[in-house]
Amino acid sequence: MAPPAISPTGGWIGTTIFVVIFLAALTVFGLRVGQLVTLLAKARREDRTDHLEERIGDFLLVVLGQSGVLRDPIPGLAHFFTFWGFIIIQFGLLNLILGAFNGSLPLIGHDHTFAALLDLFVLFVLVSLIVFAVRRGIVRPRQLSSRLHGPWDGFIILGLIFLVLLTLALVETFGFAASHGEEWSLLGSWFGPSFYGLGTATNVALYRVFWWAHILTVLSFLVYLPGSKHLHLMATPFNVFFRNYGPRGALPLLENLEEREDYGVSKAEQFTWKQLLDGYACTECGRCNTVCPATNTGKPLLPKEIILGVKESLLDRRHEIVGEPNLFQKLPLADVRSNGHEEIQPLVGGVISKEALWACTTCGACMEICPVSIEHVPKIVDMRRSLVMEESDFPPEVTSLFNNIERNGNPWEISNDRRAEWAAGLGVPLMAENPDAEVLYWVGCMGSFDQRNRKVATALVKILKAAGVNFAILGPEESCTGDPARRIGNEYLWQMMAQQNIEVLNSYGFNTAQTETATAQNGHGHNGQTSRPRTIITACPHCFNTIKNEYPQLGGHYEVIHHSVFIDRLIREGRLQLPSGFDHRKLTYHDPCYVGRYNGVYDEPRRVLTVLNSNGVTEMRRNRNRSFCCGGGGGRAWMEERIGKRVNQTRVNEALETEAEVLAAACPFCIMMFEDGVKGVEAEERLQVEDIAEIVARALEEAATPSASRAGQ
Amino acid sequence: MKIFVCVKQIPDPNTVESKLDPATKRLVRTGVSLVLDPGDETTIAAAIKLRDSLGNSELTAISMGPASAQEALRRALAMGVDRAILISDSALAGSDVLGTARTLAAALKRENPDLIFCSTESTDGYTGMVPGAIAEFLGLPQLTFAREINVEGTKAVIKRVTQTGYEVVESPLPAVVTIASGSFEAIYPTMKGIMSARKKPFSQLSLSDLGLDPSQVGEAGAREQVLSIGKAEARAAGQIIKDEGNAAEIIADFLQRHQLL
Repeated sequence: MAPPAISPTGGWIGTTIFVVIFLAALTVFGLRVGQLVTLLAKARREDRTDHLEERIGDFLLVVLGQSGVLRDPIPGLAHFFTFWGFIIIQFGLLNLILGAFNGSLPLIGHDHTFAALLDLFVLFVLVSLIVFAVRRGIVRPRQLSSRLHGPWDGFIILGLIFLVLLTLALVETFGFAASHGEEWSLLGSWFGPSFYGLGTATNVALYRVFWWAHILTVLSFLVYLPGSKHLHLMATPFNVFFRNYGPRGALPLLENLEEREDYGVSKAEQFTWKQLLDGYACTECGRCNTVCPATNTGKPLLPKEIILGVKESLLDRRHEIVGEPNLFQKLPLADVRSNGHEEIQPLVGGVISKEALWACTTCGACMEICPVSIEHVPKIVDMRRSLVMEESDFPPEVTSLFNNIERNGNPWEISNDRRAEWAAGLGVPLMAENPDAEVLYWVGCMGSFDQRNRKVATALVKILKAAGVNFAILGPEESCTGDPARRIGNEYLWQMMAQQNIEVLNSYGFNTAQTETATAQNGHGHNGQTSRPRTIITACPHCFNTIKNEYPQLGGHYEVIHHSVFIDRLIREGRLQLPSGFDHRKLTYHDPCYVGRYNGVYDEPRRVLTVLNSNGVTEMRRNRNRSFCCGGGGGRAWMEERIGKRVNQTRVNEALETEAEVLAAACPFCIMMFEDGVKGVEAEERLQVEDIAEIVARALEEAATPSASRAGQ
Repeated sequence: MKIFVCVKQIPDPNTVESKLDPATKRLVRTGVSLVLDPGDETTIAAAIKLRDSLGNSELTAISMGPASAQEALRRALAMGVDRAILISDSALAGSDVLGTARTLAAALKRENPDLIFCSTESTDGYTGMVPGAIAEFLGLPQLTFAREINVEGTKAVIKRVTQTGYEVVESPLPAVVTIASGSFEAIYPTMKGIMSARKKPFSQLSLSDLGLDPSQVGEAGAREQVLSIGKAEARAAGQIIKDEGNAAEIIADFLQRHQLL
């Protein structure tokens, strides 16, 4: 706690003035942050304290290690240095403040190593600032702009950081000059000696001037921060810590449908506190916009604007949410706005357009790339829920989808009695006929009724038979899982379909949560000799995801495996004998969102395809977790695509760029969208769309009759 | 105003292959999925729209049918209808147009309606005669094929669909109005609608409540007889026009012949 060489305030009067200003700034800052926290306290409850150990580990990695932003190397590194620079500069600041009280930080207060480190980071941050300024001012990537927040916020922040650095450098320079090197610093030792000529009195005066300038800059920053995008600096660590550790593919359950007052979100405060914290944590970097299939094809959806829209709406309504305005709340919160509208707009259909909400394919690319764990898709679905269940306001073509799912158990005007017709003559038993089947093949509506995908179902049957799998299908006992309904926002219909399907699956003893006795007691004849969980397989990632990750919300726990993983397993267990490298066509593989990003299945399908294809898999520009949606998810397959370019054609063009002859997928919706997209870009001659099961089935034929026509020849 | 809408539960026209019972020569209605007639859904939408624009009005859905028809009425209530009446009586089985209209008219008469909405025809029987018969039994004027309806003072004014456009027709109230199919979008019920439908007034009436004699309705009172039933001819193959420079002309001629141009 040694005193500084020069008192920065020059005595108790200066120090008193400093204390008054300091406390005032701290109070304003505290009040502004207090308002933000109060708003979170008024939001819906949600528990985010599970998986504590992983939370702490990820916190260290993402916050301290900056792993999220580093995925984008140049701005990522610049951010890394700014982040750490910021922390180290705080210690320097504390040291300067203690100087006003004739003190200094213990250990590091007069330590040259620390002083050198501090200045090194000042230089790093300076370089980073140049990178940021060039990016924001000259390169100007589109994703940095925001409809809701003007362009100035970013520059003000950069300017303030620069002032912090500049004043710090000047303090150090004149501190060094005034004390003739006693107040040592790296920068001071570089620039200080040049000012010896001014005389000690002038140097002391200049030191004090810049000390005040530095302190006032930092305090202005503090006061400015809660109303700017730089709020992320305080909110992001919490947001990362409280991120979702549940299954990524599960939308939150809307509980007590019978007794609720509201169904979804039409007002910002109906979100949970974590959903609102997302808005505080948003750094407005716009990475989500760069990967969104809707944004990329000219739709009115920009994921970043959804997050900022919710935040804006929350702040606009803060008086209504918190109650009678008092002094505490009169402080403005959002300082920098591009649109200074007076009237408060509704959240849905005002701040956020309905068209934006309907454009979402729920592909999850935005959540995957977000460096600060923001959850875009659940918010969009929450607002869709309000539109569907409270307003009955949705694209007109969806009405028949809802009616058909509800009445017929499938999306079409087809009686569900005809669900097993595709399997006629294939020798596929129904569960009712083979209740002890080890594997239930959940065919799904597409495999059952869609002409194109019936071929995939037939191919999968061939594979199961070749591997000697004891399997069965449900036939008319199977209904739509409700996935499209849930993602469009009709939670009621999803719950209805889920309950119905859970009942059927449980009656055949598939529920892994059921005890052995319960299995033995059920009337369907599964004798329950083994408690070994039986497996459900499906070729539909949407069925797969909702049964695996969402049915547990209603008590249905099953072992569900996607067919690409099951086939890979059969090959590795030696149950399928396939001619390796039989397919000589150049092939690319599209990761369906609901097996890839949502369920982490990337390697298995590639392994299967690599075995079968002599060229292996040629990757598209965007692959694996960066895969670009086919356009069919989130119920979009059932809606017209009226605005912008076609998502499916955009992806088909990417496949064409690889010069592949085969576009392999593992999802009936992808297959449908791509078949359509290939026709749309008139590439039928050049590109085949095939499910992984079809390729494997062809390999089996090849194995049986090696002289048969070879694929691609 | 007291507004009524007549609705019917029918075998789901989208999924159920209509089966005719050769003995009774009637549509098989058992063991198939039953729904509120999709045509009635749009008629209900028209009635709700008018009720909401008038204010201070009550909309009641009325149906004649077996107990299962409750479901169709619940759907109507979920869509936004205020009240439902089901006329159910075993003696009503086998009613023809006359018996159906007589029963509905008797129930409507007790309510002193100002306006009665009907679909132009049902999607299963397609006779299109019940609305006219109801109007006759009640001695009310009937406005047909409305694609738009307004109430101006004591008059109902409609836009009536014609082959070439529409005509504006008006009549004094009370009146019976039939809605042209496809003129309104069906309403998909909201959760509030579904939940409140369980609590909305629902009355069930029998023949004796209406003061009708079993001999006037059902099989006993039927004046209509189905003589024979047969399969409709399969639709003939369409005509394919190959463009040899004059395709536009041929298509234009075709459309003109069918008065579509």
